[in-house]
Amino acid sequence: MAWIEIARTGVTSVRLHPWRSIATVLCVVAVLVPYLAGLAICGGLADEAAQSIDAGADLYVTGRQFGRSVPLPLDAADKIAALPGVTSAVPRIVGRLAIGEERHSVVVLGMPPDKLPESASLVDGRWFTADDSNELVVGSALAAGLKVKVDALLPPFYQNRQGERISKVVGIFSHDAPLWQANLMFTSFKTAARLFDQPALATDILVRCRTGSEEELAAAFHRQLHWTGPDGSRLDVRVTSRQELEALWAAAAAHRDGVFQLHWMLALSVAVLAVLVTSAYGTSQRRSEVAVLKAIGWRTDEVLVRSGVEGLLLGLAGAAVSVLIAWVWLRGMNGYGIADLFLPTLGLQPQVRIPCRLLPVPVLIGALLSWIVVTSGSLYATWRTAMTPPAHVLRSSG
Amino acid sequence: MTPLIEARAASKIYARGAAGSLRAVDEVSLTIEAGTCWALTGPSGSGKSTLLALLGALERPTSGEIRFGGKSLAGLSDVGLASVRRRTGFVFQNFALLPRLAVWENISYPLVPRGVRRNERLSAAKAVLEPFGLAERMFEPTGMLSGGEQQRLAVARALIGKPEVVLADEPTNQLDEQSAEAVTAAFRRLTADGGTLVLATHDPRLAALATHVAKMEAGRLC
Repeated sequence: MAWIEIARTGVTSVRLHPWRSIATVLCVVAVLVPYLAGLAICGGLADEAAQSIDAGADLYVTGRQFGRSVPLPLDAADKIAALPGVTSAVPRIVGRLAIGEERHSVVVLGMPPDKLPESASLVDGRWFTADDSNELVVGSALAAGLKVKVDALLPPFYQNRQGERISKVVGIFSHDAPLWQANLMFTSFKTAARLFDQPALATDILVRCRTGSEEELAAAFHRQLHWTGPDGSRLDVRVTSRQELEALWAAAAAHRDGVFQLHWMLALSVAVLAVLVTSAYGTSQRRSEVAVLKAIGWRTDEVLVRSGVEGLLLGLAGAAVSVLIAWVWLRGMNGYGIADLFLPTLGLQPQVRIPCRLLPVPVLIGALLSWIVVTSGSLYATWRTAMTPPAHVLRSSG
Repeated sequence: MTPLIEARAASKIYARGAAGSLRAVDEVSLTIEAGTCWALTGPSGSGKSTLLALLGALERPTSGEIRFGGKSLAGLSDVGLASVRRRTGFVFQNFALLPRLAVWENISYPLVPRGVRRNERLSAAKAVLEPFGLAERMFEPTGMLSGGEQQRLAVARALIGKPEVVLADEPTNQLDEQSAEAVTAAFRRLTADGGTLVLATHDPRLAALATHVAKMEAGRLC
């Protein structure tokens, strides 16, 4: 019972020094909000990556020269499709362009209209036809950036050996599609081949196969698919499985998250100092309080519990306010400023919905850390004072 | 019979840097039996407050020994010292109140570590504030009270835990006639009930309560 009553005085202590409490909570918020927002974006990106990998092909086949990925001859798709165990082999072209007056960076994906990802849903217009009619379907964020609508013409979309062409926007797909589609435009394989002036090449081939046959097929691709050019140069294949893609993503995400957490740890150490300074703001008051409590019969452990409860409450308050602000930052302000750290191509004010997922574990870790930060600012000083004779403290703190 | 508090050649020396040191209490020996009332008199700076702090386990002697209930304070742990302080009510000259706390909270804090519930503390606070005329102001912040009211509050806090001994440092020096009388009456009740009282005072009314008077000068008992 005594401990409950003592803990209650810790609650009272929070309201005894409102400015000190507010300053401490603000220090916690300043550190915790970017941490929570950053982790939420990491979580959101991981979710979207997992969804995209799940919805993608079982195997991705590209050419390989000098240890790097290069396009493949288009006939590779037919050769792959003919192998036992393969259920479909879809060639596609993925390339990057800069278009418009502001030189928007655009990813062009050329593939058959019936093989497009299911997550891309039309919000206006129609899908492109399979021929080389220069029809485009543009992501809504990109359309907003380029200020184009359905039936808009992009003049001249390309100029190369194939001539000079104007392309037409025939559809706009949803902004709710995964983030990687933000700067994307779809077109037919043939249009993409003309656009990049590579008529007989595919950047990669998406292979779907019977479950469990991935390893066997990958080995067969390596054995059977290679080409020798008229100049004697040799082209082999590189096969990437879904599992390898997941591992690659995990490694990249771990690196990025690690860099972020390192920066956060630096910020945390600064915050600890800030809280120490903030707490020192009330050092004289705190010392007097502790001395009075000791003089009227409180034990050191009881004084520490009171101080710990105060720190816990301030830490929890800081964590709760931080979660709220992080949520508003991500949902209301779409990660203004911080999304740029994780997705540099989107700029300070992203035009696409930033994926985020705020999990309980980071929130709890954040709350724990904020309690540690707050407590580290006060507990040691409280203990030192409590171990000093009360009359001495009262005399020295006036 | 074991004395309640005993000082054996207790000294308290404060270092003053280049100015040397100050012997605030100089080899004082004193035996305070339970149920007695002591008045420590003497000019300002004679060491009365320091001696009270030593007797109340709020300060450690530089040399010599303080015994409470027959046990030396020197060997006591933090828990032991807290136990001694719970048996003692101390009235500080500067009151040592927590100004932002409500009046009733301030004086009931000695009861908190004893596990006394809030409602019981509230009742106890009201009962002890009544004779001092402060019951009606018990929910106001302590800082809103006048100096005299805070001094009465400090006395009330010393009494709320029903201590075996009250050590009071100039408990009436800022009080008007009426308030000083209320404090004197409270101390009279304490001694009448068998309580022990040690006062550092210049107030003749309080000194009149004393069964023993000890005069201090330059840290020594005369």
